[in-house]
Amino acid sequence: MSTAATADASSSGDTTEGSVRLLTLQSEDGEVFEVKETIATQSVTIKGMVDDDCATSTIPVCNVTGRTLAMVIEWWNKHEIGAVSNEKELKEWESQFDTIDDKSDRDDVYDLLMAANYLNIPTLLDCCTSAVAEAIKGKSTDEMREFFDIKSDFDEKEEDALRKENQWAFEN
Amino acid sequence: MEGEGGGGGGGGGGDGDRLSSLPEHIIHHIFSFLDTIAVVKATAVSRKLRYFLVSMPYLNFESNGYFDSQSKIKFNDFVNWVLMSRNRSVDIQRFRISYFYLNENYAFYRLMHVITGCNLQELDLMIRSKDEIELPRCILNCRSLVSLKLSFDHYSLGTFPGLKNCIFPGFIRLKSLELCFVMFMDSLSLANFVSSCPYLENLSVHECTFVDDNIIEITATSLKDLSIILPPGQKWYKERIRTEQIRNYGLKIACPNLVSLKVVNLRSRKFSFQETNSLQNLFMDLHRQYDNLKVEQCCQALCKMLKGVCNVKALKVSEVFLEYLLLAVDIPESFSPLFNNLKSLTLGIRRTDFNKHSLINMLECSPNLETLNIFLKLSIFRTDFPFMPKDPWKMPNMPNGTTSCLKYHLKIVELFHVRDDKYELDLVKFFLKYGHILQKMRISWVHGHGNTDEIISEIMKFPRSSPNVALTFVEPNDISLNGKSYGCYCYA
Repeated sequence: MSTAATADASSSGDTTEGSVRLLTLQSEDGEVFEVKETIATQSVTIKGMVDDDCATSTIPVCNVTGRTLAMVIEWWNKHEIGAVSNEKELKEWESQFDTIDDKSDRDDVYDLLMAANYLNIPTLLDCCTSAVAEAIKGKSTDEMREFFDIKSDFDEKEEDALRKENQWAFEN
Repeated sequence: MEGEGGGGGGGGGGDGDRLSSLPEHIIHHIFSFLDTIAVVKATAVSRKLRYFLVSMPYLNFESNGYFDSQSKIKFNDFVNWVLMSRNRSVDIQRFRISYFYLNENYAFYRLMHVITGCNLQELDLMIRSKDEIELPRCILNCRSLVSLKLSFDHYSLGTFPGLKNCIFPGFIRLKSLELCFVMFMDSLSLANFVSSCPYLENLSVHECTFVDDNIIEITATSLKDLSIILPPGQKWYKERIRTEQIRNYGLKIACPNLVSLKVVNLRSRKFSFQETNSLQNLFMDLHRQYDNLKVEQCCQALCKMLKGVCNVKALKVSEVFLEYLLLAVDIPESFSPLFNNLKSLTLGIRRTDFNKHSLINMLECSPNLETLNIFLKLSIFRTDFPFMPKDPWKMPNMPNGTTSCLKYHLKIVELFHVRDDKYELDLVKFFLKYGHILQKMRISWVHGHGNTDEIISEIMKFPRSSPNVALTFVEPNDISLNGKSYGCYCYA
């Protein structure tokens, strides 16, 4: 995943492709990416910087690792207008984020969520939040704890009271 | 941010799991996709997540499938419990309830009073009630609303209070309004209502009735998307509305920025579309006139309308539209329609009483057409349409070789609900024969169709003009699968 995105960034690095400006993004762990301005402005945060003329030097993307940033750039490339011929194809590509049954998938989605949040990318945020929501659907409280590795801090009495308070919801 | 939650819940963000450590608005965003019952269960895992239940800005109650009265009462209790236990200083962004069963309408009024007080932005209600429900004033006065969707049912219409005698402040932020089975008590209320919403972009009026009016008038400069489904004529309504009246509903639309328009079940010839030059998508399901004498007048009304919609890119119409259009071409003083921008055409045509000349006429009117979808409908009853040829389905040979769109533009043809029938195979044959640059033809069988191998092999023998057309045959069950796997046989 990450190799594809870096390759794309470097291939467009030595040319400005007409009048398209390139922005330099630097991840938390120091990896540097060159991205077309038209693509990177899918991030509301970066768009704000460009509009305010603050995007002339390297843009530090704090709290986002190079690995995650590469995934974000791949997302941008796919979501550029005209990049994918139809909606169906795009949805199919996006469906790779749908299942988070593996822990590594879950970690990717959390990383992407934090990046989408920091960079303010509504499409990516929607996709990842909906993936987590799908995983929650149909799980009982105990299954939730196991799947998401959440420790209960209720004692037995509290737990019991919680269920009784709205028993009907827990039966459904 | 995280620290506020959960009473004595320690943890903060440090040692917790990754889900609970996400920023608060992201957790709300995740829960916004879920039914509130699922949120209640999910938030019972820890103190920290418990906090998100009481601060949920999105409430989403789904009771589809509970029909016995015990379940209905429990469900209504649950809704009340969630509302009571939530933090009332948190705004409600969206309140959605699908199937709220009411034994007495006061339960509904009480609920509306509570939620409209929380800076409510989106309200989406599906209500089933024993009695007619008058829309409460508190909804009409809820100025924070951005989106309002009210859906009642056939037996318990929601009634829209007359606006003549009261002050309606208008929805200054409303962008989307959808009404289903609402009865308007005076003629001006829909028109007045719409004109009191300066930013309204999307309006759906489905199976609504109007007590003392026959012309539905919609004038709005901000409107982009308009969908009107008139009540089907044969249904029974409350005594205040007569069936003859429903069949006569006319339509008057003046929306200069309209992009998409859908009109279904229009029977009357009293329709006028003004200032609709910006229209891109038109779905117009005209019904056959019960009184055939009015055919000419219908044509004239259609011609007038067509002048306004000639720029459309996508058109979806029934066979009645095609027949009127064919007639319109024959009326000498009428305007000759030409859809130069039309790229995508969807037709719903009856299997037996369809005039193929009207289809060819339509193709001639659409020189740049690229995609054609045809849905074959079963005929419910046969109307003796006066200009119906004796053998309605045999596709004719094209006199001048072919039309412009078949020669240069038409790339995709899809036929839906196809059965083993010489009439329908004739359509397939026609497009294979004349579609010079056809790339894709997809045939989707009618549900429950038996063995299709024989028909497929027959179709494969049809002569083709386009050297590289891909023929696909699809079972109806698989169509809805987002196009992922069709279970189809592909022939190159």
